[in-house]
Amino acid sequence: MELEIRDLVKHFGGIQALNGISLRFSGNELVGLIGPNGSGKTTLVNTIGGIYEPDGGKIVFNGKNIGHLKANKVVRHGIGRTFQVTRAFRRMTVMENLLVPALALYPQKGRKAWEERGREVLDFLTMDHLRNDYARSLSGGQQKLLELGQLLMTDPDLLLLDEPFAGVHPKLMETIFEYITTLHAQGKAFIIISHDMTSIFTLSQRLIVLNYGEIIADGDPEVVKHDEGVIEAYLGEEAEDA
Amino acid sequence: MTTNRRFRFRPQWVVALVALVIAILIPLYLEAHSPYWLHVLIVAYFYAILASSWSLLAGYAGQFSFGHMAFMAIGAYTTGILGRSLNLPPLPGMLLGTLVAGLAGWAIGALCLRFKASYLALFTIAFSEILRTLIRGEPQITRGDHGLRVVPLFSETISKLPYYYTMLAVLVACMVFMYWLAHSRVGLFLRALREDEEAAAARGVDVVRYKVLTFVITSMIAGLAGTFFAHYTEVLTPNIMVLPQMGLVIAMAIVGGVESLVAAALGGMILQIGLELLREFGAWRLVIFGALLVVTLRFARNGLLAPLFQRLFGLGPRAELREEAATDGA
Repeated sequence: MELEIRDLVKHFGGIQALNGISLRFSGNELVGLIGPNGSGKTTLVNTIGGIYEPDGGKIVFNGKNIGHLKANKVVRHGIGRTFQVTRAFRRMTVMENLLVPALALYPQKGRKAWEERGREVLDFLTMDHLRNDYARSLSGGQQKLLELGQLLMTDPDLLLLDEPFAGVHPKLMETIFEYITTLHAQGKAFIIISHDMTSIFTLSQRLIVLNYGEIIADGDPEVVKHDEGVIEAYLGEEAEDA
Repeated sequence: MTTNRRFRFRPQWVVALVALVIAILIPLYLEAHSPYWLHVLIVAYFYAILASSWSLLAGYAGQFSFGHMAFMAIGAYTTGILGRSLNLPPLPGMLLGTLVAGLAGWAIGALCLRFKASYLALFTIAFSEILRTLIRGEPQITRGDHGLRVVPLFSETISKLPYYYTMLAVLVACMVFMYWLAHSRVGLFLRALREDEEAAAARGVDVVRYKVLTFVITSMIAGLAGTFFAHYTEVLTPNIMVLPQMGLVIAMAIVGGVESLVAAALGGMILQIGLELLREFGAWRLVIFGALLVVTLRFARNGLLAPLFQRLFGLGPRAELREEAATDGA
C-alpha cells in the first residue's frame, strides 16, 4: 500500500479546512490522526475517501491519482472508511448491510457466496447471532463493529477509521482495539482518527497532529507526545481541562 | 440450501394466486350485471400501477418525485398524437409512448437527481406544470383543453372485457418485474441509498446511476399505464396530470404502505374503489380520504396495509433471512 498526499487544499467558503497538506504512507502502517476540534481530520479523511473533491493538490494511491474520483470509485481502489457518527443502513438487516459493499464492488461473485463471506466476517466480529436484526436495533458500539464488518467484506488495503472508539462502552472499545490489532497484524494499513488519547497512543506506530488544516507534528507517538506545539495546540487543552 | 429456498412453501404466493383467480373470474360476473364496476376496476388497476411504481421510486429509492403523472401523460400523449397525426396503430404507439416516457425520465433524472430530496420535489412539480402548460398551449398538436381523441385499443368490440384483461396483464407484469427488481441487488442498493446516499457511495454504490435507473424504469411503467389509459378512455386532456391527481397517487401509496409494492398497489385499488363507493357523499368523500391520509401519516408511517401483510405473512427482509437461517440449521 502506498498513499501519497501532495499539497492537499480544501476550503469551505472562506474557511481553509486543509492548507497544503503533504503526507506519505507505505506498507501496513497504523497511523493515528489527532488534533483539536475543527483541525481538519475528518475533512482529510473525507477528501481521501472521495466524499469531498480537493480544491488543490493530489492524492496518489498505489500509483494512481484518485483525488478527482467520487467515493464509490475510491473504494474500488482498496480504500475503505468508517464515519465519525455511524452510518450503517438502519432499516436494513446486519447481513444486508454487509452485502451492499460486497455486491456493489464484486457482483460477479454472487449473493450466495457473499452471504457465506458475511457469516465469516460476523463470526470474526462475534456478531453472527445478530445477522437478521435490523441495524437500528444495534447499540452504538455494535454499529461501529458493523461498519468495520462492511469494510472487511471487500478486503481493502487501507482502512480509514473516524472515531472508532467514540461513544462506545469500555468493554466494546477493548474489543474494537483487539480487532484493529489483529487486522493490522494480518497486513492491513490503518489511518485512525480518535479523541481517545490512551487508545490512539497505544495503538499507533506513527502519530500525525493537525491544527488549522496544517500538520504540526508527524512521527513516533512518544516524540509527538512531548512536542511543544502539540501540547500547546491540543494536549494542552486537556491538561488545562484536567 | 438453495433448493430448499427455491421450493419453500410461501403462504403469500397462495394468497396472490387466489387473488389472481378471483381477478380473472370476477369480470365475467360484472360484465353481465354491472359493467360500470368493470370500468371502476380497470381504472383501479391503472392507479395500482401508478401507486406501486411511485412506491418503488419514493419508498425504495427515497426519491420523492411529483412528476409521476407527467410521465404517465407523456406516454399517453405520445401514443395519442402519433395515432392522430401518423395513423400509427395503438400497439406501436404504446411501445413508443413507453420509450418516450423513459427517455424523458432519463433526461429529468440526469438533470435533477444530484439534488437533495426537497429540490427534487420542487423540480418535478415545476416540470409537471410546465408540461401541462405546454399541452394546453399547443392545441394544434395536443388539442389542449378540447381534448385529444385517441383511437380505441379494441375497435371491433364495445365490451370492456378485453380492456380489463389487458390492464390486469399489464398490472401483473409490472408487479412481477418490480418485485424482482426490488429483491435483486439493485433493490438492495436502492434501499441503501434511501437510508444514506453518502454512506452508500462510500460502500461502492454508484448513487446517481441507480437513482437515474430507477427514475427511468418508473417513468416507463407510468408511461405504459398512460398509453393504455389513453386508448381506453379515448380522450386526453391536460387535467390527467394536474397536481391533485399526483396527490391522489401519493395518497394511495402512503395509505397502502409506501415501502411495499403490493401494499401500495392495493392502496391504489382500495382508494379508487372507495372513491366510487362514496360518490354520493360528493366533495365530502375527499374530506374523508384526506382525513384517512392524515391519520395514516400520524399513526401508521408504514401505511395501513403493509403492517398487516407483515403480520399475516411475515413479509420483509428480516423474516426472509430468518427462514434462510432455519434451513441452514442455524
